[in-house]
Amino acid sequence: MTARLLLTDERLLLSKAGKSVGLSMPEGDKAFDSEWAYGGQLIAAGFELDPNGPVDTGNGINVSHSSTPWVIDFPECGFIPTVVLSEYQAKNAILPNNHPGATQHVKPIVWERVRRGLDPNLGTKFQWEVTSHSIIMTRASVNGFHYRYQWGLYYRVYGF
Amino acid sequence: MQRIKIDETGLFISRPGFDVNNGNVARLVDPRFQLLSEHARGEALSNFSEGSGAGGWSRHRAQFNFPTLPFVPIVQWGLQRVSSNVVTYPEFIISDTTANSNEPGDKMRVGTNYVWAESAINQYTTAGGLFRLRVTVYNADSGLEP
Repeated sequence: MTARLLLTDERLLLSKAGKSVGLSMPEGDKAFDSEWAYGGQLIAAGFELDPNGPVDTGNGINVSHSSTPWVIDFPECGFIPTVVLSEYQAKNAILPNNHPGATQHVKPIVWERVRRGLDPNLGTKFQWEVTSHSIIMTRASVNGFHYRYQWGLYYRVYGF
Repeated sequence: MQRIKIDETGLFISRPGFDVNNGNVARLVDPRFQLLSEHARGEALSNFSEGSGAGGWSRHRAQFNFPTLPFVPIVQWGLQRVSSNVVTYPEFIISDTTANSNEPGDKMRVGTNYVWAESAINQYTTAGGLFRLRVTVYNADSGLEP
C-alpha cells in the first residue's frame, strides 16, 4: 500500500490517491500541504434581508425610520476575516432559493464588495465594516430618514 | 514554533510562519470552520429557452449538474457570451434589457445538485443570448435554503 500521510511536528503532507507521499513529492500529487499559504477556510455564509422595513415616502426613496446599523453576526474567529458581500435585488419578489416570499429565481448581483475594514472613500450611503464576529452596515441620513438596504445580502466570511 | 496541534476539538494547522497557538491570525486548518474543498467543476452551453421568434426577444438557459450534496453549496461561476466572448466573473452583472418587463436581467439558481443560469432577454437577436456557463462547486454550505 502507498503511504499517503507524512506527519512531523512541523509538517503535514497528504498525497492524492495512488501517489506516494514524501518531502520532495511533486506539487501536483499533493492533496494537502501545511506549507501552503491558502487553506480555504469558510467561517460563515448566508443570505439576509435588511431587518428595517421601508418607509413609504411617496417618492420612491428607499429609507427607514431607524438609524440602528444592520449587524450580521458570525462565530468569533479571533481575527478580522475577509468578507465578500453580494447584493441581490429583492424587489419584484425575486430572491435566492425559496427564501420566504421568493420565487424560484435568483436575480443576482448588482455589485460585489470585498472589505476588511471601513473605507473612508466610499461615501456615506453604503458603509460597512467587519469585526472578528460581525459585519456592520451603517446607515447614512437620507432626507430626514435613514438609509435602507433594498437588496438582500449574500455574505461569505473566509478564514484568511 | 508549533505548526500543528491536535486536541479534543480537532486538528489545527497554522499558516507558514505563524504559531498554531496564535489565535489572532487565520489558520490554514481550523476545525471550527468549514473547508472549501472542490466538489465538482464543469461547464454547460446554453440552449434557446423561450422567446417570441426572429426579431423578437429570446432567452437562453444552461444547466450544470453535480453529485448531490446535503446542502446548497458555495459556487463560483462565470458566464461567457458566445457572441462577444465577454466573461462576467465570478457572478453575473444584471442587464436590464426589458423586452419582457416581468423578468429582466440574468438569473441563476443553485440547488443541492445543480446550477442553472438564464441569460438576460435579448431584444434584438435570437443568437445574442447564447452563453457558456462555467462552474466550480465547493463542498461547503452556502447557507442558502434548498
